[in-house]
Amino acid sequence: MTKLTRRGFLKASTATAAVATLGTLSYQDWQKQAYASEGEADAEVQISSSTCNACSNKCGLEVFTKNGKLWKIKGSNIHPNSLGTLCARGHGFATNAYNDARLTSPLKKNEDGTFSEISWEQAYQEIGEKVKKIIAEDGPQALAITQDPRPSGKFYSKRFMNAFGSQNVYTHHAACNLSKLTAYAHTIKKEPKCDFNNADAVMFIGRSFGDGIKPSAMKNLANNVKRGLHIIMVDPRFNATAHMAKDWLAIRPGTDLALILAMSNVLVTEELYDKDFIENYTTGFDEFAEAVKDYTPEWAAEITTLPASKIKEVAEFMAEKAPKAFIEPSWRAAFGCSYYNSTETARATILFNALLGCYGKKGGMYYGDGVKFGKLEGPKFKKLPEPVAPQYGSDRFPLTPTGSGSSVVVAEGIEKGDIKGLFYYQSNPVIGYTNAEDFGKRLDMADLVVVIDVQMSETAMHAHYVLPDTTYIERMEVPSSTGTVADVRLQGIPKVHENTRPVDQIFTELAEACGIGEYFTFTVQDVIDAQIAPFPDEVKEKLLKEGIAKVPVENPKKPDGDPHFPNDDNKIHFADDVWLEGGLGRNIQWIEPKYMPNPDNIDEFRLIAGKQSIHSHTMTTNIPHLIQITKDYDLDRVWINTKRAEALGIKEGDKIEISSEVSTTPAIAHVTERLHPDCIWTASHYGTKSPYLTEGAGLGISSMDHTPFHMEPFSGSNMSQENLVHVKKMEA
Amino acid sequence: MARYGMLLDTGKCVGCYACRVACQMQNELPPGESYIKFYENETGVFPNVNHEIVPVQCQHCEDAPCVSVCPTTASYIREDGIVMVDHFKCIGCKYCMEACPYDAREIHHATGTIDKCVFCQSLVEQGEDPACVTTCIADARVFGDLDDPNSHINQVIAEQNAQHIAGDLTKSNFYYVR
Repeated sequence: MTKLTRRGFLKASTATAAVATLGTLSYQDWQKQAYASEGEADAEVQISSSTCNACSNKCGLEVFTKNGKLWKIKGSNIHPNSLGTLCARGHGFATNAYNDARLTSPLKKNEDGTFSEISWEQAYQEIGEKVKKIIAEDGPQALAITQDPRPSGKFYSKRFMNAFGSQNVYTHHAACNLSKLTAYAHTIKKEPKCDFNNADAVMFIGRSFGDGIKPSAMKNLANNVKRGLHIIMVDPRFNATAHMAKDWLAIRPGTDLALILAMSNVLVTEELYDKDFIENYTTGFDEFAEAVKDYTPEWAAEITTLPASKIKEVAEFMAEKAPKAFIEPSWRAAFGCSYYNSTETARATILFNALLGCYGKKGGMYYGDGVKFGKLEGPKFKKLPEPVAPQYGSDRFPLTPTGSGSSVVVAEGIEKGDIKGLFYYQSNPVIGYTNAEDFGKRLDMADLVVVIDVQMSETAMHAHYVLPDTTYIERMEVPSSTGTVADVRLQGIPKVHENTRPVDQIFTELAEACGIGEYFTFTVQDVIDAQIAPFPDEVKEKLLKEGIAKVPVENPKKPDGDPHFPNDDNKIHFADDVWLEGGLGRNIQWIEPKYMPNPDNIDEFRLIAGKQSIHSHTMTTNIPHLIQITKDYDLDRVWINTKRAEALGIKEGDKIEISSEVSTTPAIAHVTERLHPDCIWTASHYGTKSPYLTEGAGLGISSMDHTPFHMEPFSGSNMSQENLVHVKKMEA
Repeated sequence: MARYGMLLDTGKCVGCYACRVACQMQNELPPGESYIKFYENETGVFPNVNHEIVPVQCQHCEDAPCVSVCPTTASYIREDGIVMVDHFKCIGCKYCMEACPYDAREIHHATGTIDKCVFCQSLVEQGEDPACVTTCIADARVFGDLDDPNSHINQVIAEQNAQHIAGDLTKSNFYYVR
């Protein structure tokens, strides 16, 4: 008689389960099986390399599989963004390959709004016919694509659209950092790196490395704070990194520009600016000094609700620590895309850093060359046609870098009849970019909407065709780089669903169906080979084997005193006529936010939103290991300041109603002292609307539900925090 | 013989939950089962506020209540100080869950036996750090040999005056900098 041990019993029961399970196992089901095999000598563990796709940092990964299935991942020690670590999103997102909500077949929308499975051949043929019809009637400029920049997606999306002769290629930046990118483009061309390791004082405005994570940046910051780095955190919310700061400047949302103008005023009037730097590396300083002369700390105190003395103290402190001091360039945060004045706010931070003279200095900010990839030349890569028209929207937003473009203006183009056919690759504008209802209605007016994704996103709900991508960990991708390190995403696990196809294959086949196949006569491996061609053999070998390699770079600049600005005259222009083209002033000036809650109305607030460490955009709320954290710790609650909550009779955990000019949504309140009284706050990941994404259903709100469809007139960003909401307690 | 311990600096911790998910992957736990729990302290009145996240897991006590109450000797302490549960001896009576002052024990989803942080002993035996330490994005965790006066963890304990979360209550091998 065989003795039935517990492990033996487990093995027997999971074997039965495997027989009973039809189709592919969910991650959890699979995990039950995997647990049963834990410790068994025959569990074959294999380790391979890949790069993460849970956010744009693309951290290097070691992928561990057990018997061919994903077991765990680990951050690469040599990738500059992971440095051996990895955030929760990275761990959780890897499991998406086994998610129950994966798209497993091409889908076509029926007349009644439901979707039916169709073959790839049918999907390609019908999409191809529609694209050809749009081009015949309105030209290729009536086509547009939006993608969330990832290596293969970025490369194939752009080439696909350019091959038609259209320049309508957009990123998600309109809902991220487009205002900031616009400001950098016309001051010093591109963003410098920060020398945290030698800095003495850093001001963060809205950005929190502990909430919107780049692992190595967080690690570096935490260790530098221990060293004695003084952090000044400017944020209406005491964010997850704020406890490391010496000062929390709890600013009224939308008024960061007033703070920086007043800090500039202090440095100019007290002559605390770096005179040598101003002399050698700037133009227009006198005009700037004149422009900020009335923006006193007392003036800013009224607007920002910060004490004038504190504004003065902080400005003087930064000047004292200069040039080992700077305002961190930020990302989305307070001036990436949030307010009517975001581009001007970003411009002000760049100019304030010039007053500190920190550019090119140790402990300040500096430029360095990155990896240079080989060109795509030769018979496999046919030269792309000349574009037939400028990027749609570029006449309205002439200052906006066309490498990003405003993906929001595209929706307006549909309504006007200018844009007829839209492609979306791994981007979810309907819930993420602007007001969901409004964006969705506009998409429904288009002749053709094609969504390529791994799950039925809110945008996919509005598509005519949905094409199922593989998840990142199941495919190889074109190269990308971080600083002087190149990476190639290698396949970490075998394909889970037979009928899904990797992004490179989808675009290649789509191109063929749309009549532009001649521009896609290469494989992803061909792209990799061409791009890494200039590298030394040992680097190439390492890249193809391990996925990550340091590349010799001609001029990896370090701070040497010269700022090395990438613009033509190596100078920062304090005043510049270029801004007039975009509707701003030659000189910097105070610009009011579009909305301001009236302090006399006890129920009126601004709704602001921010990242949470466990989620990435709106694409991770269906991942069981991540959304469970939201549920366990009530992370979907909407924050409200204690005093304001008391005035409205709201207690922790109460049901509240949030209403605005565009919608009314229920929410659960989190009552806290960690928030400015003028606003309520939500994480920006929740409010899922797709009935296919059930894990996060019913959790939280989407801040975009209360933000009207509008654009910042200077950059085309989505003004994600320009809104007014009213809050009341709901009866239990 | 080593005596393993861990240190967590809440001044560095940003409450990102990377440790929770890395631990779940390493130990193949379902979403709802976690060996690490997170406690939050908000103090002060706007705008003079502070905030701290305190992750808590098995404190690997030398005077371990879970071990003394276990009726089957399933809970035991290894020579290197790691508190373990022998799944073949565990009858799932949950006495240890009640006895643990740190609420550090979980019921295993498949077996009904008791599970908890074991300092990733299989990784430690290979000379690696536990998964929560390796993945920590803020360098907030240190793992090492408390019997080695020159170990990094002992240096940090001394420099930062690290303390146990509940004083001498259970003679824990887990230290906090707060």
